Amino acid sequence: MKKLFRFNGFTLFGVLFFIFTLPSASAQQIEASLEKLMVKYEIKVIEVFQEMQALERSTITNQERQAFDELLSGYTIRVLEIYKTLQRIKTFTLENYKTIAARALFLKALANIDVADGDAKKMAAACEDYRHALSLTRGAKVSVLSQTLPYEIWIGDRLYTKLAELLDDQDKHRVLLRCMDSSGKIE
Amino acid sequence: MKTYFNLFLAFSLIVTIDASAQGQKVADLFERTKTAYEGQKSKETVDLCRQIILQCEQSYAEPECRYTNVMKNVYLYKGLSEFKLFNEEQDLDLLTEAIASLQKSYELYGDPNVAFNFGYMQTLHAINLQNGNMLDGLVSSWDGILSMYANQEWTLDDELIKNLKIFVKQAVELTVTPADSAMTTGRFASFMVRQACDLAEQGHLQQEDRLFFDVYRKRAIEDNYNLRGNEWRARGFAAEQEFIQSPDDYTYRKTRTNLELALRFSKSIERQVEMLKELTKVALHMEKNSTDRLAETELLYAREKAAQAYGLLVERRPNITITLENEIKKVYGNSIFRLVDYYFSLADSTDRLNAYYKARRVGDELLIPDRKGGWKQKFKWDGYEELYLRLADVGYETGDESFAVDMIDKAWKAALHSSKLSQSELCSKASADKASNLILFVDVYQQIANRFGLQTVLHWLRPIRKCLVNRMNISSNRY
Repeated sequence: MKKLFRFNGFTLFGVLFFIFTLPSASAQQIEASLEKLMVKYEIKVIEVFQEMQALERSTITNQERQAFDELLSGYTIRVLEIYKTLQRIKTFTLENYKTIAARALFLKALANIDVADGDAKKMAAACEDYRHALSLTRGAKVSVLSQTLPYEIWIGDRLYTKLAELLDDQDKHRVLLRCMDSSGKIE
Repeated sequence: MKTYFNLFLAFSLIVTIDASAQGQKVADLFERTKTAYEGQKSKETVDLCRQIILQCEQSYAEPECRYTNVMKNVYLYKGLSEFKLFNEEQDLDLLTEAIASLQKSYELYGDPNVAFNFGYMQTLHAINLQNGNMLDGLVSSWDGILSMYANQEWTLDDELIKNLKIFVKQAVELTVTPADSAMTTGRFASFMVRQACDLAEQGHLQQEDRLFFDVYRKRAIEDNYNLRGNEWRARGFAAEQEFIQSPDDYTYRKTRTNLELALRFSKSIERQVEMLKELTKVALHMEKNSTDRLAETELLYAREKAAQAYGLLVERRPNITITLENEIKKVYGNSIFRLVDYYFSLADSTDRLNAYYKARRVGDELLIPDRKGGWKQKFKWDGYEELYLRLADVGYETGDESFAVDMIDKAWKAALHSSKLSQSELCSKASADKASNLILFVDVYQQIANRFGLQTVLHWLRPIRKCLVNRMNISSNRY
């Protein structure tokens, strides 16, 4: 029986290794599951955005457009929440998560413009999201707007593979462009 | 000076006592509220909550008013009790109050259950107001569901599945509210149902629940995401089943309303022809089974719907199965036959010739020239020989020789075609059933030939009749 509790150098190393690696393994697990969830919610943001764009522009669709916008906001808030949590638990690069959060925010900004219809509050919210998205991806090697998207966005029979194309097409009144100051820098 | 000092002391004392008494009062009131709420005394709970809220609005509010855990419960108890009262009294003001109370509770403390509940109530309010435009409730409930899901480490328990089912049912009900006019395109509700089904499928569902979500997913997707039209179609079919079992005026009207709404909101030609066919079927069934209705109304309605279905079939060439196409032809043919038969039978009691001409005019709808100087039906349908036969009767009665002979000849050939027999096989292959059916046609043929003096036709028919009688006798002798 005594033998069982006798420690040698190797056992001690094993126990210490176990003690120190266990929390980090579980943290990694949480991180991985959060990342999965973040991707899942980003896909939901896109689904809602596409569905919203499928609505014809008429008075009968106004309420539905608003509801889709709110739903999209809900999913974006979740994406950002996960991003913030990952920021808290992660010590090294967050590049990929930042990109996901930024993409969700770009789509939220576009959705906001879509329903704004001259509503200053909505316009301001769209600008805020747009600026937030840009600031998140500041310093990226390739601009998030010009990156090829990891998924396809279909609006009607048109396929978008880059956010920049979508922005050019959807933000017809260049509202988001006006969110920047005259020097072109993020406010 | 001393008097003033004493007065000031007394005043301070009163203020202190009053403040402490009031402080106790809110705490006491809250305890009483809890007891009343647990005892399901809804009215008392609401009154007590109102007292607390009123007291807390005063400029010297008591400490409990600032405690989130107290105030979120005050609003929660108030909201849930008001909802109970609404269920008892069906007063929509109470429902509005309940929603506002729960929203306040949620503002103080973001409990996802509360979000789901006020979302549910908002949708219920919209349904009660018959305002399908109010979609906020669905958004709030969905937010609550997602948060509950996250709170449970992204797993589904029975409670959440129950909530998802409630959510789906409300989304569907809101889409069909109001029934007769679409306030939305239904796309949002359809999307939300699909979201709910997606989420439900993440968990281990029981057979019954799986079926529920499968059915609603199908309804949200079919006919180009036409949740509204699909729901009316489903309700129409359910009512039709009930109507076929017990055909009465109420179930007939219910079935027709649901199917007509399904038709109105259908997005594809395929769906339109299907609904028109069903409408024809129920009208014909009603006419056949009712005793106290005006048959003509139902028959005219059936003919109109069937004609519309056939018109779409010919002009728009929908992508439908052969079976459905045949069914449409059958109900159209049948509705024409039944109306011809109806007018023909009227000749006994009303203006004879007028009734016959009416029957003829209806029958003409299905006839086109056959390039041999005669007429043929536009299409073959299951029972088309009966229409020829009845039209031959009409020709006989109106004295129109060429029409009567043309029709009975076509009826005879159609009857042979339907029996899958040729004239040369009649003496050897016709079964008793077929022989007894065919003999009716021969009798009418003989009547017409007799009336118009067609001796050669009679000469030709005699051996045929003899054969058919023999076939019937052989068969009856066997037994």
